[in-house]
Amino acid sequence: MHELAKIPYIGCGIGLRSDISDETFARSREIDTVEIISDKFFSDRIARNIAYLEKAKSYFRVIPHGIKLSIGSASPIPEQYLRDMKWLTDDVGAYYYSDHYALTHDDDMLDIGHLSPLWFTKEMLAHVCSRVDQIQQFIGKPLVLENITAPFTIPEADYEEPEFISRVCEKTGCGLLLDVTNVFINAFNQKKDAMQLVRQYPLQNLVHIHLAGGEIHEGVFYDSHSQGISGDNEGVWPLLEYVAMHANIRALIIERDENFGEEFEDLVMKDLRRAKQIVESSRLVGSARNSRGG
Amino acid sequence: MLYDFQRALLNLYTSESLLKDFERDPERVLAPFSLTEKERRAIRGLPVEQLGHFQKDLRGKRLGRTKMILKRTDYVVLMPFWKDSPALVWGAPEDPIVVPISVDIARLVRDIYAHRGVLSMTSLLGAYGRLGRASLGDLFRVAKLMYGRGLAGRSVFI
Repeated sequence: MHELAKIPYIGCGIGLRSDISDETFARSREIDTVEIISDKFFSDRIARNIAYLEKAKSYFRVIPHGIKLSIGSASPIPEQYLRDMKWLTDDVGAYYYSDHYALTHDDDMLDIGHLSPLWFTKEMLAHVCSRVDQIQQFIGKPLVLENITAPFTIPEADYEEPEFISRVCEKTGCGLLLDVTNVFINAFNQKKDAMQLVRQYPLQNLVHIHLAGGEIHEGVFYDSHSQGISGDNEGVWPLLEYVAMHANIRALIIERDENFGEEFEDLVMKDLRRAKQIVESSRLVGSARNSRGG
Repeated sequence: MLYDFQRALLNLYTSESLLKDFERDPERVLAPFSLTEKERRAIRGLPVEQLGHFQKDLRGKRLGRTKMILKRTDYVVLMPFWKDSPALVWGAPEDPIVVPISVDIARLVRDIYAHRGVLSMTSLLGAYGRLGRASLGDLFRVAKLMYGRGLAGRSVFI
């Protein structure tokens, strides 16, 4: 975990998306950092993508975030994918690389293009830890893994998700990307208390936060990344406040992937300012406490 | 075995007909996979209704992403799964042409993509030579798609 302690405060920002690209660059004074989807820059390193990456680097601190690692896959991690992860992490000067606790594909044609839940067994724990160790050694930087929304849970498991993640963090020293919205959504769908649930995650390993706005359809909450963080999503904010007081947040990203019809201000900036105020005032309180020695 | 366990899951997530068969007769669907008793119990215990919702969600997301690519390019998109198989998709984003293909043909097309080729006999023969798994029949079927549907010369995307 000492590697995580070396990661400085990066700031608060948004996911860089082509639909809101111009507005994002125009607000570079208010946006500390942007998160890019790493896989878009791997292997099809076409000139257009690389030019875009260079532009992003010139405006912001860039954080790479992958979606295709599939940390739980039985198949070996392709050597090229490891090289791509290392290349991008080094190229943007990132302090860490992030992806998810998920299964997205096997080594053949079955790529579901999305995140599916892991089976939280002792065997999977050993398997994931082994892969985390492999990646951290290869890229030479911490791996930071994110909790996902669970459309269902696979029965006959040995752990629940927070305990599984805690054990991985403990054994490997990897970091936690806590998607607070996913915690909120899972609590809603599983009829659990969200604040009790968030306390179960290994906040001592927390590095990075995701926030987003989802939607409720027919009684089920979906992590659609399509709404502002208000209304049905308002309950995310007390969770963030709790986490900010109990963890050393280095980066926070607001995710918006769909429904870009609103003004940029309403789309992300209002939520970004609110999140930043929470994170940075907690940092001030923590800093004051440390300087008093208590 | 973890590999087979995950293949069983990924197949249930992506094949409409397989999920229906699983609901009727889970043991028959799981029979081809090498699974421990615990793995069998775990898969049999999955909530079929929620799996169905997940499947629809995946398909919708995949199609949405494909339409976005079609809106911006004239690529031929390989969808790793459609209803019961992979598919090639091209044309107008509002009403794309979706042609189901076999897994072996999908592997050929994926290899063309991985080598940044366009759809052509040269790239197809290159993929056939590298993979060593496809049949001459598959080669013929891809060529027929390429030239019969006017896809020759187009780039592939996944």
